[in-house]
Amino acid sequence: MSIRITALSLRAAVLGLALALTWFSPAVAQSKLRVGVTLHPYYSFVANIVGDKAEIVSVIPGEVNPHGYEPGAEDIKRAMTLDALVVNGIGHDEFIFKIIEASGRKDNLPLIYANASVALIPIGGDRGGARIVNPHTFISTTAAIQQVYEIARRLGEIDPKNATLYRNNGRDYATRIRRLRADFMQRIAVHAKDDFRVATMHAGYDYLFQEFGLRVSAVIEPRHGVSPTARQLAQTSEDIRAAKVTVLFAEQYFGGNLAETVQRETGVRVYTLSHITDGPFTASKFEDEMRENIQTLARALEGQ
Amino acid sequence: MTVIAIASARKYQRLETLVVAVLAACVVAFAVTWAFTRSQQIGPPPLLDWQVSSLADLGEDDQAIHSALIVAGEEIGYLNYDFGDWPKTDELDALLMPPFYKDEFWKLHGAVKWDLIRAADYNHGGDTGYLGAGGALPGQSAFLLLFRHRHVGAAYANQIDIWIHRNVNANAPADTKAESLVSAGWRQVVAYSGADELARLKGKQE
Repeated sequence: MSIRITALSLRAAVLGLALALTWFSPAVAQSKLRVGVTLHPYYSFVANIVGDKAEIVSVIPGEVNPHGYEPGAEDIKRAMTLDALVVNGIGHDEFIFKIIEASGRKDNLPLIYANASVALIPIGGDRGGARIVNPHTFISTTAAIQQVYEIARRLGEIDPKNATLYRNNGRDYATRIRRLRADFMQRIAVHAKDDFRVATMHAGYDYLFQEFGLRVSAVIEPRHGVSPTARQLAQTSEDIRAAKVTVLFAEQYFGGNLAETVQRETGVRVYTLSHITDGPFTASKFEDEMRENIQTLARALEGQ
Repeated sequence: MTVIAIASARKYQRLETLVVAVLAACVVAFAVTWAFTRSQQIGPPPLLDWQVSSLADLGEDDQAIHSALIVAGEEIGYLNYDFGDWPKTDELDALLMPPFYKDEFWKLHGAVKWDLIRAADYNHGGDTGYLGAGGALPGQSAFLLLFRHRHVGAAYANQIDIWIHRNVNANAPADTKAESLVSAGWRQVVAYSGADELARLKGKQE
C-alpha cells in the first residue's frame, strides 16, 4: 500500500515540476495541437493535462461574462484555427455553438464535451420539487476530476502519440485537486455544525457543496440571468427565515445588491464565492480560485 | 368565350378538393411520423424495471455517494491498470478518495463500511466488486461498485457498473451477473450524464 502511495506522490512531484517548467517556456510552436476552451476552468484543466504538448486557446476574452455572451469576429477567427475544442455544452457556454457555426467548423471541429461522463445533479433549493440539471460542474473538486479524465481521454484519442502523457498528467492534476478538498475536510468538522444552514445567491455551487457535505436550503436566483421579482425576493427572505438559514453565499462577479438586501432583511452572514469565469486564463486559476472558495467555506463554517 | 357548364365545374372542384385533401393528409402523416421518430432519438433511453436514475430516483445522500463513486471507479480502474492488482479500501482511504476516504463527507453520509468483496484474477478475468453497506442514515441504500471483466492489458473504460440495494445492510451478492443481482433485490443505477443532457438539449451527438 505505502509503495503505491509513495510512487504516486513521487510521480506527482516530478511531473508537477516538469509542468511548472513548461509554463515558463516560450510560446509553443504552431505545429502543436491547438486546443480551444470556452471557460476558465477548462483552460486550467487542459493546461495541466497537455503541458507543452499543445497550445491552449481561449475562444472568448477572459474579462467577459459567458452568460449571454455575443460572439465577435475575433472569436470566429480563433475558432477557425483550432484542432479541438473543450466545451461545457449543457448550458454554460451556448455562445460557442454560434461561433462554431459562423466559423464554418460545424462538421470538422472535434468537440470535447467535458461533462460527457459526469453524473449530473439537480439545482439545490429549486421550488416545486422539479429536478433541474445544474450545469456548474466545474465549480467542484470530485466532478472536476471526472472532467479532467474525460478531457484527457478525448485528447488522447485526437492525439494518440501523447495519450499516455495526457492520462498521467491528468491523474497527477487530479491528485492535487483531491488534496485541496482533503485539506478542507481535515480542517473543518462539518458534522458538528448542525446549525449551519446555507442559502446561495446563484445555483452555481451544488456540486461543490455536495462534495463537502453541505446542503443548500434556498437559492435566491434559481436560473441564470433571471433576477427575482420583488415578490419572489420577499418570498425568498421569508423562506430563509423559515429555514433558519445562517449563511448566504453570494457571487463574486455578479453585480447588483441582492445580497445586501437579503442580509438586511434576514440578518444572515454573507460570504462571496468565485464562479471561476472571469479574469485572465491561466493554468493555475482553477486551483487558485477553488482554494479561495474553500477558505471562504472554512471561514463561514468557523463563523468568522 | 367558352362557357363551362356548372355541373362539370362542380365535378372538377370535387376532384380538386379530393386531391388537395389527400395531399394534406400525406403532409400531416409525414410530419407526425417525422416528429415521432425524432422524439425517439432525443434524450436517454427509458429505464428498465430493474434500473433507477441517479438524477431522479436517488435521495441526497445516495446521490452524493454515487457521484463520488463514479469518479472513484475511474481511478480504481487506472490503479488496476498501472499496478495489476485491486486496491483495498484502506488504500483508497489513504489516497483521499471519496467515498472511501473517512473524512467529514464519509461521516455525513452515514459512515458506510466499504469492502473489496471480490477481485478479478488478472489472467482468468471475472468481475471485481466493492460493497458499501451499513450506512447509518434513514433511507440510505447499500452500494455495489462492479468492474466487469476486461481483456488482459486493456484499460477499464466503460465496464464500471454501480448498483444499489434498498436494504442498507445487504450482504455481498453470491453472483454478480445482472440477473442474479436483480433477483436478489439490487437495482442498477443509471447515471444521468452530461452526454444524456446534451442529447436532450441538442439531439444525439456523434
